[in-house]
Amino acid sequence: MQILFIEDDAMNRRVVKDMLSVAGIDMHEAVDAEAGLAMIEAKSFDIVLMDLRMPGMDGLTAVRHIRARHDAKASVPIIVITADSATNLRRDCLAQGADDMLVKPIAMQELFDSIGQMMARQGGSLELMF
Amino acid sequence: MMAHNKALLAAILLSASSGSVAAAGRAAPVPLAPAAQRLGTADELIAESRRAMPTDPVKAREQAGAARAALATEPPSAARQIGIATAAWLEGEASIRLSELPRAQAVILAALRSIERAAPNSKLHGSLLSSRAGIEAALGRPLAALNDYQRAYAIFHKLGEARDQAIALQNIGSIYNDAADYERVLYYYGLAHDAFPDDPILDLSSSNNQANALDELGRFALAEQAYGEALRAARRLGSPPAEARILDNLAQAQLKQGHLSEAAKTVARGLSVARDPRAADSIPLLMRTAAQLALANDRPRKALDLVERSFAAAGEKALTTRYRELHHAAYLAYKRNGQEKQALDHFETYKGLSDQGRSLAASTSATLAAARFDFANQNARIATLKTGQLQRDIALSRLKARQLQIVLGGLLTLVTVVAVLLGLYLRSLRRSRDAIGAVNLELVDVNHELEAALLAKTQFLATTSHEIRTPLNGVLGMTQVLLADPAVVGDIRERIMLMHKAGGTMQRLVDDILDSAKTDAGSFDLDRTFGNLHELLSEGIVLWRAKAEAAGLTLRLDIEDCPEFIVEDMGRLRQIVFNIVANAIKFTPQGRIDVKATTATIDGGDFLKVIVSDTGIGIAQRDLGAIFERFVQLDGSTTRQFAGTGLGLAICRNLARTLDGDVLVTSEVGVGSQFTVLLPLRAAPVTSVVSELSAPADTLEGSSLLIVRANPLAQAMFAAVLKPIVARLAFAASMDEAVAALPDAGTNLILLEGTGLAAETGDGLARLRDFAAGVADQGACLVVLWPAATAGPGEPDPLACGANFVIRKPVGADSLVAQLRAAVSAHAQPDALPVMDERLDRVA
Repeated sequence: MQILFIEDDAMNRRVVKDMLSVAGIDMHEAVDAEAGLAMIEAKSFDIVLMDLRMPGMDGLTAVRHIRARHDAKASVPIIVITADSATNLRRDCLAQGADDMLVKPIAMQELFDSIGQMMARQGGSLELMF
Repeated sequence: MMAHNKALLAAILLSASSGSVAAAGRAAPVPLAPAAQRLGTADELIAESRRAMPTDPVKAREQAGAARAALATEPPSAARQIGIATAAWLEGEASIRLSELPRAQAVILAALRSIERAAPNSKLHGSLLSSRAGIEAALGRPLAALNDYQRAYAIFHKLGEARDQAIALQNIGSIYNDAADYERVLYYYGLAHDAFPDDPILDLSSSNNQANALDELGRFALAEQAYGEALRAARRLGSPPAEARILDNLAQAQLKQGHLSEAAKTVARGLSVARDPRAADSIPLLMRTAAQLALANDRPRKALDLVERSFAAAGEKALTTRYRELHHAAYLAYKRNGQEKQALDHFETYKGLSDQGRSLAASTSATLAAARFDFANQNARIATLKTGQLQRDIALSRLKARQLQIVLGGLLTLVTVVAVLLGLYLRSLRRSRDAIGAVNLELVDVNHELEAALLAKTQFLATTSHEIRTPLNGVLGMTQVLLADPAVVGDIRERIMLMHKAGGTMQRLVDDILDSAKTDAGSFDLDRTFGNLHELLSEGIVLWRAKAEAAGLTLRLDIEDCPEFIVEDMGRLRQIVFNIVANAIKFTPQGRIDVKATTATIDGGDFLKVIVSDTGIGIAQRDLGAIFERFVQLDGSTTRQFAGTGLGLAICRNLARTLDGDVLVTSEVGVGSQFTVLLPLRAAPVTSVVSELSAPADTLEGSSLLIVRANPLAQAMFAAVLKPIVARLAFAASMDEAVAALPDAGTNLILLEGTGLAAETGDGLARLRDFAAGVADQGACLVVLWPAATAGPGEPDPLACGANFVIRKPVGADSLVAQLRAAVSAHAQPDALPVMDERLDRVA
């Protein structure tokens, strides 16, 4: 299973990378939105995890860029990860094209549940996952 | 930007202040001629020092030092002291410009002590306070700086020195700039402009700073206007360095908006202005902007060239905060040109400088918020005292009024005296009533202050709490990962669990504080869904029972009289009930806690009641209102014993009210308390209830499914697909665990991940045989997920080991569900005709 995490902070990247290792998944990472978009261009991912606050292009703008693509990659499931708990933030993220939102500090089971939901929605072959 | 503005302001300060010996010493008797002559020499040195300050601080410092030396030989007098203080001030200012802060500080502090005796609240005093403030700001003490600037402002205000007032206000604005509080920046610079308009230097500074703040706030059109005004001021002053700097700021704003050709023109203008050697400082910044433009125009080679030239020009300064963005531009440029290593080096530098800036801003703003909070807190304490006092005054006045009324009544019988005395007593009555009225008005004011204090407290905590979430992610993220590793055992596991629990407590506190801030602001997302109340309460009680029993208490749940399904914001409901239960456990040293959920009809409306009763320490009648107030824990002595923020109950009641309900309490000290959560009961739609309850046991929908699979992500995926369909879903990490779980809860369907077993021969299949036998004993159906058939014979056959059905992998979600459904119904009716489905393997 190919998962990409776009996040500028090395600590946060490490946390999610280790969590996904528990499930036997090798996470791909990008240090900012531009690099992330380039990786998505070059490769297919099953899930994209996206930080919101990054220097340069911010997370929601990157989400918009992905959704604006003219190929199958435009519908890749995107889970936004943020420390912000502003009211209506979830609604705004979903409106801009994200599929789900997780609030830091991340609960590992919630991360898995969210990914599980995304894959179930896809309907496709469960074999892809492992 | 920061350093430039400060330097500009320092120049302004200097030219504005009239701290010359003669002016400051006007009040004191001037000594006779010979001394006056020597003072005159000192005066000349001081004047020269001022002149040299903007361009040659070293010289300025020498001359100020010389002036001080000259004055030191004078007999003591007020004029001499003031002269020395002035010279010291100039020395200090020069040292600030030369970035020798400790030296500046020593000299300024000495001068302040002296001026406080010799000429307090004079203009020089104000100037010295401003200098000290500048040093404090540079040393990262924004509060002290603010305090001094405010005192300086007060002095200038009293002296009617409008220009110095404006300067002090601008300095205050610059402190808020450091804290990234841009609304306040706009406010103070606006005030400064109003205090002393039409001064080119001041206009330049205020327009530039307001433009930057507007830029940060995203109000780009206004920012461009303000930059325009700043440019005009720069030109009036004939200052190329200021012009070049402002043009760079303007180009950045245009770039951010995507107006690339305008930005290019602005950069070109800036570079042409910067040909003047005085503006050389701005060239690296303009080059950085040009590089960013080149990248935006998709010309990476040009960008790289510009970046390299820019660094060459910057030299050592390239590692300061001002060049932060240049490093980011370099990172992008190197990357686009395929030079990964350099790109990463610059990115690391950029991150390092950003973190400094962010933490400076964060700590400055936290410091300021703390100060406002402290200040508001003091007001609140005073207000509380006042309230107490006022209430006593009201009581007293009422008492007096009543006494007068009684006396009045008695005197009515004396006809002759009555007329006179009536007049007198009526006047006293009116005065008492007026006194009560006045006191009531004061109470209203005091209540406003209390509210403001509470708001300040909440906002300060919310700001800090939000920042805490990120490092908490690091702590809790790692404890979760460590605890998920079965190799972590014994003492190490215990220690990590302790860390994890502590982190969890921090998280709850942070969430409580942020929730509290949200209820204040009145902003809340409500998520009303169909939910299972029995499940919510039972699962919750299981969690709390462990904690209660650890404290020696019994915890009981009674859900006989309450509906199973309701429509409500289940998350908030859980929060309310759990907060109250946690509270009950906290304040009940021994005995028991009962949780009962029931319904009631009140005034024709249906309500849900969740009643939490305890045998705890109880609450006194007079405190019943106070416990719901924020930050209050009864009797300060309990705070250490019952640690917490005191937010829990306040949040509960606010939440309940947001849900159109309430939280009520009755209590008796030494006996116990009873908290009742009251919420409007919303009927669950009948169809969803029916579908949950009526699925027959021989269908997939009525089944109790146990999935044997260790990987937690795989578990989550299966759950996402199957939990909405089956009646009950459970997981086991291995066949051994599954065997232990089988007898519970009427498991009738088991899905086993067989990929690992397929790879083993012999031993693996033997375990499968045993497992299948155990499953068959329970009468349950065993479905095995098996990898797609590879070669022909010799391949192990799960059906031969006792499995009832095999599902081949890879399998899609829809197909999995369909096959499980078929498996269940076929298992339930073994005598029915076999279903012809090539995907199904079935025991004949």
